Amino acid sequence: MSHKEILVEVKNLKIAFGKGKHKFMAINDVSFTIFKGEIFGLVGESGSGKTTIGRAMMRINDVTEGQIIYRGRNIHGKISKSWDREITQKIQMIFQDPMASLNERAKVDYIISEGLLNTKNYNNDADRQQRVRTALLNVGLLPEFSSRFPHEFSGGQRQRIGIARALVMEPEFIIADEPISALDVSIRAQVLNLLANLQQQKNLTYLFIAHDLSVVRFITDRTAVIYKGRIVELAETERLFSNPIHPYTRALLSAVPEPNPYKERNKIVEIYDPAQHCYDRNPPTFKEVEEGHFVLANEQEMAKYQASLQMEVYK
Amino acid sequence: MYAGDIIEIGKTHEIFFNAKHPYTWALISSLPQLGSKGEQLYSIKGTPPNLFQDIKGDAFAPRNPYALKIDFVERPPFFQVSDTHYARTWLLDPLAPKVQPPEALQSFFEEGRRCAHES
Repeated sequence: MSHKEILVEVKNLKIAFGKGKHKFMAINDVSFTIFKGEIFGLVGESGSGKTTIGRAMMRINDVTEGQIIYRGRNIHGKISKSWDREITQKIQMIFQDPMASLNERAKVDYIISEGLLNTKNYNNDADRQQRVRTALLNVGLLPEFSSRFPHEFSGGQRQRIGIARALVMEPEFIIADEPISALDVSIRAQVLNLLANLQQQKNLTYLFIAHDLSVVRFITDRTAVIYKGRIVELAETERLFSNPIHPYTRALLSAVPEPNPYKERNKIVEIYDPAQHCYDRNPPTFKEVEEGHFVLANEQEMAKYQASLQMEVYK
Repeated sequence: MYAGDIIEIGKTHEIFFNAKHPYTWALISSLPQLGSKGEQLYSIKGTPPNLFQDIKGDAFAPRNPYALKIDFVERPPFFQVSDTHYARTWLLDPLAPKVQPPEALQSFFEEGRRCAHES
C-alpha cells in the first residue's frame, strides 16, 4: 500500500463545539490518510462525527486541534490566498439531501456555475456556459435543463445537479456526504454507477460518507468506522467486512439488513456495550493489528485481537 | 406499487423469491448486495411516467426490457400466482412467451427458496 500517493492526511484531528462547560468534543483525535484515486468510506451512526470530518475538510467547520493536510500542505489556519483558492477549487462536496441542497429560486445554470462565478474561474460567459453544458452531460442530464428550476426535477436528477455542481470546478477530491441516502433503490443504483464511472474517467478521489453499509461495501476501497468522534477501526473494505475486529464494528455489521426475510428472522444481532472496555485505567491507542488494518484498542485488547487473528489463520 | 397502482402483491417471501413483475425484478436487482464490486449495478432506465398525462397500457412498459406489444396497448389485469400472490403483468398470461428473470436474480431466488426449505 505504501507505493500509493497520499492525497489527504488527517492528523490527530480534534473538533470541539461550544465553550467552557458546554464544550463538546465532536471529533477526538482522529487520524487517517486517503490515497489518490481511491474511494474511502466513512461509516458510523448518527451523531458520530462523520459529517463533521467532511465539513472540516471543506473548511466549513473550524479545527480545534490537529491538522488536515492536502497534497502535503496544511489547509487550515493561516494559509496563503492562492493556496486557499486552489483548494477551494480542488476539494468539492456532494450534499446529502438533493431536495434541500439546491437553491429553489435559482436556475440550474446559476446553481452549477455559482462556484465558477465565486472563484472567477472562467474566461468569458461562453466558456462558462460551455462548462455548465459539459458538467450536465457528464452526469447524464441534457444541456437544455440549465434554464429550468430545481423543482422541475425528480430526486435522482436533482442529485445529479448536485454532482454536476461539484464537477464543474474540475475537482480532484470529492467529499460525498451520504449522496444516496435520500434516493430510492433504483435511482440509488443509477447515482452509484455514475459516481463510480466519474471516478474512473476523471481519476477522482472520494471520501464517501454513509450509513448504508451495503452501499459502502459495494463502492469503497477502504473503510473507517467512527464511533462517538473516534475511529475505532480502519481497513480495506473487504477485509473489514469479512473480518471485523472491534466490537462496535462487529455490532454494526451484524445489523446490516439482508434482502432475505428468512435469514433476517434468524439473525443474531450483536450489541455493543462501551462499558466492556476498561479505558479509565488503560487508555486505548489507534494501532495496526495486521497490515493496513487499524483498530482502536488498549494493550490488553490488542493482544486479544491479535490472538483472534491467529485463530483465523489456523481455521 | 408503480405509478399509483399496485403491480404485485403477496406474502413477503413470494415477493422476494418468486417475484413475477419486471418492476419487482428491477427493484431487487438494484440492491447493492446483488451487485459485484467494480461492475455496474443494475438500474432502471428512464424516469417514472408523468401522472398528469393518461397512461396507456402498462405504466412501466416504456422502461421495461421485457415489455410485450400488448403492454403498450392495454393495462394488464391481476394474474393469480398463488392464493396470496397476484401480479399485474401480461407476462403471466398463458399466451405470453415464457420469460425468465435476469440471471443474477435467479440465483438470488434460488438461495431464498433454499432458506425457505430449511426454516
